[in-house]
Amino acid sequence: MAPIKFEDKLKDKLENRSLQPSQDVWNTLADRLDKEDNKYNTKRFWWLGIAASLIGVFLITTQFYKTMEAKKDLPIVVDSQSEIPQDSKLITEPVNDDEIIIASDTEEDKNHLETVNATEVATIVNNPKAENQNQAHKEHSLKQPQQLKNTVASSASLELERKENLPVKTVSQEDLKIIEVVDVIKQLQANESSVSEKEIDSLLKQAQRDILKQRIFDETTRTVSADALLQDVEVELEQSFRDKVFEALKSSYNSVKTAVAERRN
Amino acid sequence: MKVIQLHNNNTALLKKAAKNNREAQHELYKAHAPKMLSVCRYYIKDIQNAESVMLNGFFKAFTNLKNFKYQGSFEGWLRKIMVRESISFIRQQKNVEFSIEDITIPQDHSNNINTEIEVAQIQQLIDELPEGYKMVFVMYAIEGYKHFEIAEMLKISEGTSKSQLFKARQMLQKKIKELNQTSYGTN
Repeated sequence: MAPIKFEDKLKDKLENRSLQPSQDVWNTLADRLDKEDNKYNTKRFWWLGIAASLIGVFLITTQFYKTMEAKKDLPIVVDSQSEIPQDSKLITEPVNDDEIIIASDTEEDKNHLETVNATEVATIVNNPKAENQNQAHKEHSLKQPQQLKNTVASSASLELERKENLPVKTVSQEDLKIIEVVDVIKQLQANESSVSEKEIDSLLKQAQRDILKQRIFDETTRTVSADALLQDVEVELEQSFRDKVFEALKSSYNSVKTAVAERRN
Repeated sequence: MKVIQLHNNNTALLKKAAKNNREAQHELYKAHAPKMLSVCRYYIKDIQNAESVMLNGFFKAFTNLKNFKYQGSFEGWLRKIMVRESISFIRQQKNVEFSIEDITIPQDHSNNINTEIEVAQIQQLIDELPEGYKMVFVMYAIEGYKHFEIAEMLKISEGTSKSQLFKARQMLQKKIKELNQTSYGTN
């Protein structure tokens, strides 16, 4: 359909026409464009804010999980009081290595330790009935010469136990010996009217020897403690040296005393 | 040489305007607003509404200027935006009806009508056409769109576009004849 003549003329006339818009149109248009710019900037600001918040949340979450993982790795001390008999005592004072006995070497206990991932707490078992409840405690208690049973729980690993675990003190051998000696003295006092100082000294010396013997020779492992032996020798040497000095002082004092007495005479 | 320089200047101005440079946008507005208002006026009878539509058209053009490919002329791109905005405005204002009756379009287009009439009179004749006729007539006869393009833009069939054009022409010819008769009568 070709355009007809009068349409061409209409087109030419209309194409050449131009209408001048009012000044307000541009002002309105400029205002709208300004608003749009502000809106765009605000949107951009919000997007940047949201992006920054997401990054922040991501960083915080990452940090949180990192700390959580670090916490998981730390050993947790579990107070297994439910297993402790009522008459047992828990002493947390550090003691010598020879007072700590590692228990719970059985496979069962090891598994338990792995799952708990923690350090078991040591217990002092005074009651023989309670021994039946814990096999490790029982084994240990049979090896001890006294009724007192000292059990120190093992840690998740041997290293951790030795380095990190607080050693748990039990009633020491010295205390037990003292109690024993006191009992013997009481019995002697009950049988006889008086007990001489010599008898008491001999009892104490006997007790001291027993203690030293126990220290030196561990019956459970049937080994001789080199440290204890050395310590014993050192103590003996020290004592002998002290005795010699004392004797020398005593003799010199006596000689001076006699000399002064003679001069006066 | 002058044409190339003009093109380069125009491209630089468009790039500035795309970066929301208000001065560059004002320059483009001053250069194209009179023509674009005329385009909007083809479709919209009220000049204030036409201005409002033109304003919307410029706003859309400036906010989407970064999408302009610099392949065709900026004026052509802007003109398309104005036409679409005008059609959208008419559709929002009125329910435009396109009669879909089949019309046998005669092949003889012999029209030797004396069309020595003023632009204002032409615009008045166009304004008096029903909206459907007017849109198709202006798009086809003045803007130079093809029937399939008109059909796509107005969401009608090509046949409807053709029949609308035929009816618009008939009506216009009749009106021009009447106008001529009146003018001869007065003279």
